[in-house]
Amino acid sequence: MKIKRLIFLSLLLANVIRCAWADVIPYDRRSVSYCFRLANINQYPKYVFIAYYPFPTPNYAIIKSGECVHFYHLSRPVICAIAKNHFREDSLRAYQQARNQSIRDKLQRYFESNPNLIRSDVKISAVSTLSKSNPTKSIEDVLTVKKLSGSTLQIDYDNVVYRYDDGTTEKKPYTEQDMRPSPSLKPKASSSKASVVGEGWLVAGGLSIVGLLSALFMRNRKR
Amino acid sequence: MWIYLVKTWLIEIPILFLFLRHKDRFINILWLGMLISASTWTFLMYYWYSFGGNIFLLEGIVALVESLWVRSLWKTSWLYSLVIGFTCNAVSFGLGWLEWV
Repeated sequence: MKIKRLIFLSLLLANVIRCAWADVIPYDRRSVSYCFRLANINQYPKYVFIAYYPFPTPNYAIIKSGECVHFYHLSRPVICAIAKNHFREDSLRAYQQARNQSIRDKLQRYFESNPNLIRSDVKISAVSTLSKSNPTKSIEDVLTVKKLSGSTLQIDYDNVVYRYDDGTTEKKPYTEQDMRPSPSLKPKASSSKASVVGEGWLVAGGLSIVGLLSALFMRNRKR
Repeated sequence: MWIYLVKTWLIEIPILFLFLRHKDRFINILWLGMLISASTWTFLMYYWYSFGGNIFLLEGIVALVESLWVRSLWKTSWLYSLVIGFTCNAVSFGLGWLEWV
C-alpha cells in the first residue's frame, strides 16, 4: 500500500515539475523574435556601448545606434560602456576569434576585470516562445541611457514594441522597470483554452470508457 | 481540435492491427482501438489545456492506461501490452511533435 502511495505521489510531483526545455519548442508554443535597442547612445559620442554575453560561451557585440540587438535566448547580456580612447577593438576581436581557449578566456577577463569598463545593472532576458494562439510576431525592448558618468552607467527600460502577425505594431511604455507591459492584442479567442477544450470532451471520453467497459463485460461473458 | 483525434486514430489503429491481427478480427480492433484512443486522448487534452503539466509524463500515463485496456480486452501478457501501448503513443506523439502529421 505504501509503495502505491509513493508511486502516486511521485507521479503527482513529476507532473508539477516542468521539463528543462533548452532549445526545444514545447508543445502548443511557437518561437518569437526578441531584441533590444539602446535609443539614445548617439548622445554619448565619446563612448562605445557593448553587450557582453557571459553564457554559454563568452562573447560580445558592439551596440550601434538604432540597431536592435538579437542574441541567443539563454544568454543574459550585460550592457557596458567604455570611453573610445580606452577601447581597442582589434584586440577584443582577436580574443573573440581565437581558437585557443586561453586566449578566448582573455575575453571573459576583459569584461569582468577591465577597470575602464562601466557596467550597467539592467537585466535583459529574451522571450523565446509564446503560446501558439498568441498573435505576437516580435518583441523589441527599447532602453535609454539615463546616466553615464565616472563609473556609473544607468540604463532604464523605456518602452516595448510589439509586432503582430497581422502586420500591425503597438508601442507600450514601461511603468515598472522589471515588468514588461502586456500586449493589447490578446490570444485569438478561437484557440483559447476555454473554447478549444470544453466539457464535451470529457463526455466523449466518458462515453468511450463506458463503451470499453461494455465490450470487456461482453467478452468476459462469452468466455 | 477533433481532427487531431482522427489523426491519432489513423496512426494508432494500424499499429494496433499490426500487433493484434492474429488475436482478433480487423473490425473489432478498429472499433475497440477507436474507443481506447478516444477514452485517453480526450482526458489528456482536457487536462493539458486546462492545467498544463509535463506532457511526457502525461503521455506515459496514457500509454500505461492504453496498455491496461489492451491487456484486459485481448488477454495479452503485460509485456506485450506495454509494448503495444508505448509504441502507439510514442509514434503518434513523435509524429505530432515533429509536425509531420
